[in-house]
This record gives sequence, structure tokens and C-alpha cells, in this order.
Amino acid sequence: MRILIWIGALLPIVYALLRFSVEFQPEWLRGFFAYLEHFIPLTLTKSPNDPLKFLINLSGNSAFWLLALTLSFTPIRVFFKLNLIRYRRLSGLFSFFYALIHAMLFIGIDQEFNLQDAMHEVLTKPFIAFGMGAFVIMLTMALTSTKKLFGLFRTWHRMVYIAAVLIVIHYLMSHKTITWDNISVAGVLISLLVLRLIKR
Amino acid sequence: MLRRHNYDLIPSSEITSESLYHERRAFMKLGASAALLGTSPLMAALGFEKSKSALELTSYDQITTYNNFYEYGTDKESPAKLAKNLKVRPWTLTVGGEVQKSLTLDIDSLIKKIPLEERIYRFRCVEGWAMVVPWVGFSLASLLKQAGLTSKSKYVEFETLFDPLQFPQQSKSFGNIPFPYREGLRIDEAMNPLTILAVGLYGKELLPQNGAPIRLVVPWKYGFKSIKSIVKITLSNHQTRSTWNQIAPNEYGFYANVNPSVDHPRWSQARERVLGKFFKQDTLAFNGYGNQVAHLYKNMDLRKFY
Repeated sequence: MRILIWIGALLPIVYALLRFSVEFQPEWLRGFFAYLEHFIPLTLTKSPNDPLKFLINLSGNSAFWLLALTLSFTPIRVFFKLNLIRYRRLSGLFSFFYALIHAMLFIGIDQEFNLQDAMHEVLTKPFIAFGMGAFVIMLTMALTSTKKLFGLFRTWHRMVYIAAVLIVIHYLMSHKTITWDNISVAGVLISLLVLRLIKR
Repeated sequence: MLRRHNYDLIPSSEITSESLYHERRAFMKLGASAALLGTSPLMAALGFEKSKSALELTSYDQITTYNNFYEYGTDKESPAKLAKNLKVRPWTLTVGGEVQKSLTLDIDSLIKKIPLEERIYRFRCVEGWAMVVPWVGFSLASLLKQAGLTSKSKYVEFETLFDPLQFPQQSKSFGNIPFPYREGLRIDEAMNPLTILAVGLYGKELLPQNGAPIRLVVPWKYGFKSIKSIVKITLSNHQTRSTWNQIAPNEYGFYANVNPSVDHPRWSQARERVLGKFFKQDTLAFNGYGNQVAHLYKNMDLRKFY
């Protein structure tokens, strides 16, 4: 299980490396990826047209799905009597890892490390504020996730529910219109939160 | 014969790169062989002189694989994948409403009759990405003059083809985009010489994902104003509809002039991501076409009329 999480969590990085190395790949490898493209709904044979946007989306989506995985361990234990709680920290940290890349791409590349500009964006645009709020919560959780500190900050880690709600809003706001696809994706995280209410 | 106009106001620092020059030459060969085969009147009309633009062109591959065309889906890759079979012939374009004489035009006879020219324009999407496209087309004004304007021709409305069998999202969508897609211009914007109807790019006929067979290009406005696959142009005496303005009026104005000093509610418009580049560059007021169009808005508060 631990290995599965590691592999799954590193796939987005493999995918990014693959997309950015398209021009350097040998012919046979490109041919292989072109063949693979028929079976999976992913582009493999083209470097990204809008590289910054590509990385921001990829890191954001990865953080989103890994957070969903993290939040699924408790309902899995309740409903399927399968205890995977010991993997929750690893998965949560991977989610934070991508959230960190996501936030750093925003501050470092999108805002070009102009902290004043970045702060202005956070303060004037709810879309950015929701995302940044969730990131700050996740940052404090990551910092207090060691065995020693977790004991002290156990209650604080319930803030993950607030972060998840902020992330759902941030995710829905990132699109120009709401589609069934967006609603289903957001629905996954929302259901994981609702399952907790049912349990009580 | 193809005429070339250079409407750039770009410093000479942005010089066409050498690789680009070769790319263009390769493309010209392609165009030449197609012209020999006589595949279309557009091809036959093309000239093959070297581009004089100082702008670095976005590659043909990028222009044709990164598209917003919500009739096919909300992501950028769907249009190129799904649009292949759009039936672009026969295609009829009507010009009606407040005009002296309504026109019903077959696209091929229109292209044959009207002189085409290449226009290399910057293109800026409201989402923050940008490219440079060598369009082939003709000025909208020349078409509107054929129909004849009246004192009541104050606004122009454009409409995309409505055909849910060909545009899946027109029936499948969530219902929050009121199809058919519509866009509008004030008459002085429509008559400005920069405003064109494009039928090709890089010397080839437009691909469906880029708005085949005929689309609007208004280079000083955000890309969503440049409506694709037009079937209907209607002149009217009142301000016309604009689909994105209808969907979210606080985010997308009727004017939608490229303006680095007026932010979108969710992101800054001060800088832009040029396709293929990792780092951003400054966005220019009116997308760099202020000399030609700023006078159209001289007594308007552009913060209010964004």
C-alpha cells in the first residue's frame, strides 16, 4: 500500500517530465506514446502549449485528488472496516507537496516573486484568497505532522475540513463556467465531507 | 492577389527568429504545392512573399491545438480533436437587419470576389494567454459596405452556427451558456480597418477549431469577441447581445478591450503568457493597437465600460 501511494503520487511528476521532454525523445518512444494515446485520455506526444498553466493545473489537480485520498481513509474504515489510517499522513503530505508546488508557481512564476503583487492578488481576489487560505492551513498541518507534534496539534488538524471546503470553492471558481464535469469532481470532495456528518 | 499589411507597433527588439523564418519557408512550400493542386480558391489567391512583421509568430501547431470553442467542450484540446468533421461547405453567411440591402452569401463565391490579405495580429485571450497569428481575410467594413449602412446601423451582431448534431455541447451543456454564441460590436469598431473577417491562417484555410470557414478577428479586444464559424451578421440600432457578457456581466464586458490596468475579478490582466513560453510578458493597452483604436473610446471610462 505504501508503495502504491508513492507510485500514484509521483505519477504527475513523471507525466510532466514526459510532456516537457517530447522534443528530446527518440522516435521509437514517441511512436509508443502515440500508440498509448489511443487508450488513455491524456496527451503524451506534445509539449504543453501553455507550460505555466499546464503545471499550475497539474499540481492543483494532483493536490486535490491526493487530499480526496487522504480524506477517504476514515470513511473506508467506517464503511468497509478496512483500516488504512496509517497511510493518511503520507498521502496528506503528498497532497501538501503538490499544493506547495502549486502555490510556488503562482508566487514565483505567475507573480514573478513580487510579493507585494502576490499579496495584492490575495487581498483583492476571492478566488486567490480561498486557495491561499487552504494552502496556509495545509502548511501548518504539514509542519505539525511529526509524531511528536501531532499529539499536541491533533485538534488543529480538523482544520482540514475548512481547507477542503475552501479548495472546492477555489476549484469551482477556477473555471469560466460550471459544467457537469466540474460538479462531479467537486462532488467527490464534498461527499467525503458529508460522509463524516452521516457517521455522527 | 494577396496583399500584406503591417499593423504592428512593436519595437524592433522583437525580431522574427531564424527558426521561424525557416518554418515560414517550409510552410510556403506547402502552400505552393496546395495551390498547384488547386485545392481551393483561397490557396490560389495566396502570395508567397516573406513576412515583414516584427512579431514572432506562434507556431501553426500551437494555434491549431490550443483553442477555446465551448461548442466542443471547455478544455483547450477538445476542439482540435472533435472539430475535424465540421461541415464547412456549403456555408451561407447572411448580412441583414438595419442595412440597405440584405445579403445571402455563399462562402466560396464571397472568397472568390473579395480581395484577401494577410494580417499578422497579436491575439490576447481574457484568460491570460496570448499568441501571434498570421490571419488571412478581408476587412469587415468592405462587406458591410456591400450591404450598405443606414442611419440606424449602430451596432453589429454576429452569430455562430447552431447545430447540436455538429456542436455536441450546444445540447449537452449545462444550460448556462445560451447557444448559439453571439458577439457584438459598435458600428465604429466594426468599420475600423483593423477589424477583419478571417478565412485562413498561415496561408491555409481555417481549420474548424479556429472558426472555419469564417470568423471575426478584432485584435484589440479579448479573444472571446472574435466569434467563430459565423452564419449571421445583423445590424441593429441598439446594443447587441454578447454571450459571455450575458453569462457573467461582472467578468466580461461588452467592450472587452484588452486593458492591462483593469483586472479580471479572478486574475490580473497586467501580464500575459505567450504560448510556448514559461515566463510572462507585459500586456499592452488595446493589445498594442492604441494608435489605431484609442480614439474610439476617448470620452469613455474604461474601468466602467470594460
